[in-house]
Amino acid sequence: MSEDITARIKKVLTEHGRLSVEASTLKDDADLYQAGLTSHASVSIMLALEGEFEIEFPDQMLSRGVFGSVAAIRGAVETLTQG
Amino acid sequence: MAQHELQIGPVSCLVDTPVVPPTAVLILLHGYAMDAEHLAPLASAMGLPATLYFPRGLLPTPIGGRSWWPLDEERRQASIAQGPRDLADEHPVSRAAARAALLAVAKFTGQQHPGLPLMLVGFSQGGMLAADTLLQEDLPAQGLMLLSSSRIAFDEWQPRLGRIRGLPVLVAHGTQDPDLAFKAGEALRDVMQASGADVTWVPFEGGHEIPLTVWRSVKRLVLQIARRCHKA
Repeated sequence: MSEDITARIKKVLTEHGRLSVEASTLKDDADLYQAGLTSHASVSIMLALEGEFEIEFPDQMLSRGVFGSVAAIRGAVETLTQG
Repeated sequence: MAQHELQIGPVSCLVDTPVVPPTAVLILLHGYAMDAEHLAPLASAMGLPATLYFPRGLLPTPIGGRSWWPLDEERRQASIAQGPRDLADEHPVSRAAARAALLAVAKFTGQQHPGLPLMLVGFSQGGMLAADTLLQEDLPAQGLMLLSSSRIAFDEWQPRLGRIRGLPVLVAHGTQDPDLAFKAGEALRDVMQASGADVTWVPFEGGHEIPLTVWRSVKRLVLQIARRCHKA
């Protein structure tokens, strides 16, 4: 389940993240901003994740940290999909 | 989404085609000193079952990007330095050429996608162009979304405002917009409401930008309009 979510997150990152590295090669705790994620692209990522998982990130989750790594995104997605 | 470039009359356009059959067509107009690439990644991330057209402004600007009509950059900067503006009394030159360009794109989309609802989304100067064209020309759009924009040539708009009666219109504006005043957004909202448009008002804490909350609202309204049009 968690691996499936990770794969889907990496797919979104590949399609919308405009990262300087291949998303599939990223470690789960790798810093996405260091991998080239911009604040502009992070909005694309949030929108695409909301569509992918049929969720809506509440305002308190819209912080840099929540989208800082694959693991952090997975934590947020799991919280919202299990909520 | 598959992306390709297209020339429609005088306008160069970036086009995003969905992997599923489209249920709507959107024309997304960028603002001053921007280009199609500023909006395309964000709009595409909405994942809409819609074909997205991103026309490029007709003119290059001295500070980069493109515009729909020329601005005196020195005068513009001086005006912004006085505080955020409402452009209701401005009559930008070359608007007719910009409207003709938008009409050409709209006509093309009508031929390519018969039966699909057409919606206009404009940011800043792009919003002004969208509203100006809808009011002054014969453009059959089923929705209008004005993001961080303003009225222009309001004396010309006034006698034509009846055209937007019943039209779904989204107006979004940042409370801290340093370029176009929040009050200009409120005035745009008020005039749309007074004209009988079906207005969705999306104020947000932020500047001259399109944050997540606005994209979400755009997505919701596009889906709503598309559903309504396909039921009818």
